Amino acid sequence: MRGQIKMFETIAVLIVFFILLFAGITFYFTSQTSAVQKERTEAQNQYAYQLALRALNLPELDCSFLVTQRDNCVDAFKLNVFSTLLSEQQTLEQYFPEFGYSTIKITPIFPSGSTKILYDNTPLEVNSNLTNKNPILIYNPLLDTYSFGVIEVNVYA
Amino acid sequence: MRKAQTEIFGLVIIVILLALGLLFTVLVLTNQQPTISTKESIQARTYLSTLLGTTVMECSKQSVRQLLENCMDSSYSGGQYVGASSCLDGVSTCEKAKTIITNTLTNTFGSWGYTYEFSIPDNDVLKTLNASNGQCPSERERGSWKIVKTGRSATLTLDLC
Repeated sequence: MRGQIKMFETIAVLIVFFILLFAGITFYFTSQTSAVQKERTEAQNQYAYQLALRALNLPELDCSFLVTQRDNCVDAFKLNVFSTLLSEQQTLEQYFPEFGYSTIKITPIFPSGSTKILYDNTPLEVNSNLTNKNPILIYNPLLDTYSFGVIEVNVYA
Repeated sequence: MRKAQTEIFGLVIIVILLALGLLFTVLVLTNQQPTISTKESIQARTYLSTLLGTTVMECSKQSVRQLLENCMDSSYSGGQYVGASSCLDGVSTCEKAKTIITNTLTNTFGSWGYTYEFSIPDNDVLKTLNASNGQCPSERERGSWKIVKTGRSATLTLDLC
């Protein structure tokens, strides 16, 4: 009888031990999954920002005066012409290595204006997408003025 | 005292000690003051540089930076900016800058779901241009930009969370 009680006691201790072990493992893996997810989103966000910088530094768009280039600025005239060119399939394919599957839009905020779609290449099947928005200057060479605008990059995966 | 009683007594002591330890941990964790952590934000800094470079048509094509520099030379009393220049529409440079700051913040970070706190803490007049749509609790991302004009300076700060 005494031996049986001892055996039950050992089994009970083992059950409690395994419950605690499984609770610990579950907690650990849940926190790890959320950390991985967070890092993935962060990486995607950085890639979207990289695309925005790539677009802003293209000679086809930048605000350059003689040899100097103004940071974080797009030329409104160049933007009009370049977005018209990028609406053609052949030109869109040429810029695929630069922008991949993404959509790039530019919207004037002050003074307000209509949104211009610079590049739009959406895959047939979209698993996830992430948007990165950044303020930019939009230069009007005719008036020699700068408007406050936003560049929006939507990256598809 | 029998052996079984002694064992139970020992177990009870262990359980009490564990409960006390747990209670202590919970009390320490809940009483901790929230520490304010600040990270550098490219987005906030980009906003400030873009804002300062924006041209204001109604103010003879002056940039927001020039409006702020002009505003720094004025004084603020009784809700009025004394000594600040007026734009073509009769609005003072300070009020015009405030309108643009509020407008651009509302249409960018405000509409993107951020809580923002824009402030110019080190200048008495420009301090009146502060704008926010709430308060950041503990974690925030910050961008700052300094403007200098003939010995006077002001630091524009934008906190996002």
